[in-house]
Amino acid sequence: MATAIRDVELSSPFAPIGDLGAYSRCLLVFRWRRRVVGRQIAPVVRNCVDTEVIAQAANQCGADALYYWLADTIGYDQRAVVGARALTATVAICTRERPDDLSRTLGAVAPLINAGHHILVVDNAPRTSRTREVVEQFRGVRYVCEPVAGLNVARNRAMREASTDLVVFTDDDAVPEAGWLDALRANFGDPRVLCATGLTLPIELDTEAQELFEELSPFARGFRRRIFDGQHDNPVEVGRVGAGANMALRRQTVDLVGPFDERLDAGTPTRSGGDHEMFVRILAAGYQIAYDPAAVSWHRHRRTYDEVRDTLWGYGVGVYAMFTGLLVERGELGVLRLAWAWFRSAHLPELRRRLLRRPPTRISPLILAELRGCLHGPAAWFTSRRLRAQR
Amino acid sequence: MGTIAPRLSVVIPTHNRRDAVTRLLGALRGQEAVAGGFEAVVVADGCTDDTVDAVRKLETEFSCTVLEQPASGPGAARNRGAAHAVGDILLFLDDDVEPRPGVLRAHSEFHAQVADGVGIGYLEPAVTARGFFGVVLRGWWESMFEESRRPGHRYVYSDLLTGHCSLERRAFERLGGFDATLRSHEDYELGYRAIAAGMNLRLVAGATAVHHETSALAKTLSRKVDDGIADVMLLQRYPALGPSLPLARRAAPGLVGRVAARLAAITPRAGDWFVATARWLLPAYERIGLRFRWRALLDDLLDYWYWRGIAQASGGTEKLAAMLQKAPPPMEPELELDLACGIADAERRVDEVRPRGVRFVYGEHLIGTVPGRDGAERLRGLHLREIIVRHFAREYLRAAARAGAIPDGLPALPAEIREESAPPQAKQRPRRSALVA
Repeated sequence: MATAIRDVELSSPFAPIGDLGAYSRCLLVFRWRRRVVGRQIAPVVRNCVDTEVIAQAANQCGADALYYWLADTIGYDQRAVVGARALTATVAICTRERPDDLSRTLGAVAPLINAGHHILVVDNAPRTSRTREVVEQFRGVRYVCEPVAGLNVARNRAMREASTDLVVFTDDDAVPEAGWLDALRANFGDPRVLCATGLTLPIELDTEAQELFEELSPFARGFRRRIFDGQHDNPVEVGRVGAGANMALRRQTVDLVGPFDERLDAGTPTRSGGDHEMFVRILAAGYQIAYDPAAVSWHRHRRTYDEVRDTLWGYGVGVYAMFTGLLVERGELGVLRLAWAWFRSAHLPELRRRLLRRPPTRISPLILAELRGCLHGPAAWFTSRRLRAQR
Repeated sequence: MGTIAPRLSVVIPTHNRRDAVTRLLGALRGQEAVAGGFEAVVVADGCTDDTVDAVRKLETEFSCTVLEQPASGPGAARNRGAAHAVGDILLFLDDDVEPRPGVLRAHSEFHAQVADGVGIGYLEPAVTARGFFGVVLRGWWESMFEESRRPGHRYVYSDLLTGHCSLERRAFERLGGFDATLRSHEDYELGYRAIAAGMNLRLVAGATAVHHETSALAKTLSRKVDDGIADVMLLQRYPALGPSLPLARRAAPGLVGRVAARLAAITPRAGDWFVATARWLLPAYERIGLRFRWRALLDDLLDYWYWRGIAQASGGTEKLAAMLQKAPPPMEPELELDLACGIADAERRVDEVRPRGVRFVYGEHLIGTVPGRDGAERLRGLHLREIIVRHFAREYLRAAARAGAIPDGLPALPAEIREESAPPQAKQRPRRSALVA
């Protein structure tokens, strides 16, 4: 059975959520005056989640909601700085042959053009003209074709094409909500902040595969703003920073820490990891990354089991490929400890389960796929490096 | 320039940095027009290179004067330049900064808007050093502005950085200029007197100067001795500053720091030799990517030299302890603010009274106190939100919950908020330990 997703406004009296006949569970997204402050899963009973269950779930939201209520009550914005200049932004969407998803994403971000922002679609190594045709339906959206395959190649192209202060990336299968861009922009008042990431939530959990993905690899990184500071935080621990599906970068980032590593991420043997490797370099150079849950975007996870298994395999490949690159080229010994910690917490329990011949759980095959990806990661990095050198 | 005095005088002390000072003067040529015009006064402090000739040969559309004096330190050089300057506003720029366009106008407009203002300009670090040290040095410079960038920041004496700051000439004269006897932290000392005189320190929006920071590790370490000496002199002069000085709270050093301190207690030469040897571990750590060990060792080395300076100036730990004991107790709050009446009401009352310290309550429930502090400006209404959220968030939520003020839909207080831990008093932010002077 699927999971419904519904908003609950905490500043209004709770009302039962009905008409949930197709769902067994409901993901309640709690807001305080539109701002997301928490999420909880509640069971659906007789096609409905009643107010008592909602109230119990709301009570589990904990301190984040209360701290946000306090800031809202006294009118405090921790992002405010003296003399901050409003930064211009280009929303960049790197895409490849997903016209339906792209159309939905463009529908969500197109109103930003009226606020003076730019929207750029980078069509990466297209096989058909369908992406261009979708873009032509949205007035003011700019289209560029990047013939060399690779998500990081496309991201670099977007960084070069943009002329604004910020380049803000969203995936072609994500739907940013109103206020998303302003929330990301608000984090750049401090010149040390080179990057800001936002809160990414699932737009649908209609299949078991999507539920499993959300259980195993959610994009959300909590509901409290956090600054990751390269002066104090371990730069290789970027798992909690966020993801490239919802991130903004100063355009000058390329000059300060270099472009995206084109040997990593989708379209290369390494499959992923390109965003995280950029986070590592930003932090290692002593700059900051802001994670701001006020910047909300909704992501459509892959719908079939095979797709999810393939995605998680790709995450395993990408993370270990990134670790390999950091170890070989930058001498970051810290990745060894990190790789061990990940293996011990995520993969070792599953291996132990198999050795003891315990029955597998729903997520067991997915964890093992991720582990296989990890084992393949180092070879993928060397292959990708060789291919890049030949290009 | 005619006979009308310019509105703004840029005072630039320099010591054997011909290229830097000509770069700075070149950047002044590109500045937008300032109402009333401006002049530059370069004070060559013991220059033995051709700085003076190079500056005299420069063709500028503004008046540019070069004064020469025997090496007397930057404080004395700034005083000399200020005495010669004729502008109503003095803008002090160090010779290694390069003002971005609009700096002069930003400072000029600031003084037109803020009475008794001390304008602090942002120094955008352009660090020459590479590797871990370059990262740390840039981060240290950026951190100097971290607090003052917040709109609700309560300014303290150490926010004043003379590398890029401005005052009205009359105010500067009233304060008596820089203390030329200090080899380091003369800006903090002036900041203390400016705050005590009721002046308004502010970060000036739009005033950015690139700071070409060329310090190397060896120079940074040697300057720490001067920092230690200067802090002892500050403590002797203003005992109330004691709790805010790094020397008041000695951090537990790492192994290298402990060994070096022991050796220095036996004979300072042994300690000096030990840390000079230990320093060579830094490149080894960097080569294998051990950045946290590298940072810990650097902190130990900086700490060692800082304390060597303190030992030299104070005459020993007992004398230092005696100096610290002279600090007066924190002042009692002068005002009680009931936040149940709303933040706007509290801000209005604070702006009326301008107290040194306040007590926050929510109805009949105590939230906490902000004790009065020497070296910090009197409270303004603008400070309250920042103070409440950063220092009293949990206490505010507890008090609001007891008063039944938290709306029904929100969660009950979780354990992390419910449990009372630290006494409800605003923590005094220790002054940043200076990485460079």
